[in-house]
Amino acid sequence: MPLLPPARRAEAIAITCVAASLVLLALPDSRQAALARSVNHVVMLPVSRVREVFGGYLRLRTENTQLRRQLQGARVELSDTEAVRLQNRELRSLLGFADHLPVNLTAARVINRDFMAAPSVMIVDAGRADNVTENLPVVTDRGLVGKIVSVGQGTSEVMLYTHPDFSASALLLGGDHLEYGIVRPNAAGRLQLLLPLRARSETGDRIVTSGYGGAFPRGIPIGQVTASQEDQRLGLQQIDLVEPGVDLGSLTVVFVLMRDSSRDASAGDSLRLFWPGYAHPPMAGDRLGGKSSAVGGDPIAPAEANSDSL
Amino acid sequence: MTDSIGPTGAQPLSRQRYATFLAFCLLAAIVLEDPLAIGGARPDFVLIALTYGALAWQAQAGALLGFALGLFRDALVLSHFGLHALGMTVLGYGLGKSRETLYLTTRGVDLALIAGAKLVLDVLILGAAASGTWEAFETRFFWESPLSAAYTALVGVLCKRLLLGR
Repeated sequence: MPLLPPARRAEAIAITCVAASLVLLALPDSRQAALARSVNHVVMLPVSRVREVFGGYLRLRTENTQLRRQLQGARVELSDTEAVRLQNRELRSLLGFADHLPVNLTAARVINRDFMAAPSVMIVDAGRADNVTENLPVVTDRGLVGKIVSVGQGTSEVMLYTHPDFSASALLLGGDHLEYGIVRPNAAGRLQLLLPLRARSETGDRIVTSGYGGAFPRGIPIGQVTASQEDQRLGLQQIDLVEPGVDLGSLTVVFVLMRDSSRDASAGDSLRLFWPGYAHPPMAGDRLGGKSSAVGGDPIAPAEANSDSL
Repeated sequence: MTDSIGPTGAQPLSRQRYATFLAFCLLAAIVLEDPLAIGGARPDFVLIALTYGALAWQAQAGALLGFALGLFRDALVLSHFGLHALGMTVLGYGLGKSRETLYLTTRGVDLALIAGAKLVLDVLILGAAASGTWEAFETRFFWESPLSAAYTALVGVLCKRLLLGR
């Protein structure tokens, strides 16, 4: 049986609580403060834990965001630095190349290009004002790029070796033999060398311009043979796939090979280019003998250290 | 405690829902009251929790809840330990008793009950804090208290709507 009827129980509890409160209020200040601190500690502990964890999480999140931003900035900076380094290396290489080549070169920056998978034209910032004319070869220290097809006052359009209309008379420098052919791109924009069926070629053989046709002087590097196959349709010619020396995608500066008015750059003349990494290709009438019989030494052996070291 | 709010016929308030509501109010009393203060008036989340608890479970539970919540408030204030416990015990009992005779459960009644409870509590707390200085009591009671009471009532109704869905 309960001590109090339910109707009175609420009053009794309320009176007890009021009495307890009055007792607490009647305590000395120091005891009150101590009690308050104890209860505060119990009440606030979980909250302060949560606040600590949540605050830590927020702090870490902010820090993480800042670090990500810094990392992004550093990556951009690194990328810029890398681009500058590569450009510097390229320009040094070109500078050394231009100094060593005994011909008249006009440097030109690439100011526009098409961004197809196989780019076929580009615009350079040298034109009539720089004495640039149509059909002049465009080269880099790595070799042939293409030729000038139209000239403006300050700019020119360059037909690249990947252009469907591009072709150049080429000379394959075998170890102990030479082969003449034509270099032109296939439908996919890949460079190929067309040779007579009887011709011999091996993977790694270097290809330079032959000088025939008058468009390109003899000896400009084009690339090297990567694979050989017969023309399946006619069987009359051998087609070698060529790995170009110049990577068109990374070009920023090129040289226009100016025509020397005192010379005729057609085949058979005495224009001999010295290209870093290449010996002089033999001219018509040069004697060949054995693997290293080309004039000036092994025709495919690098004549000096790689141009990167310039 | 029962799960019903008694004779009003209104939907019963489950203990789980009230526990969630109470936890939110206690946390808000620690974290939100100062940021939400407007011109010295601040919402009293502990009183809101007490009001709805006492209205749901009547005088006995109201008195116990008031005492416990009063101690909680005293622990936060760190002075006059037991003063809030006293005031809120009385309020909890009174609010619980009011439910026995007051059958209306509209928002207006809620607003009036919370605002009235806040004013009554402030009379006690500010009176004790003023320690007999009428000017101090007058300034705070006639300016801060009505604003705080109205603010608390509005926040209370809003919290009830959001957390208890009523």
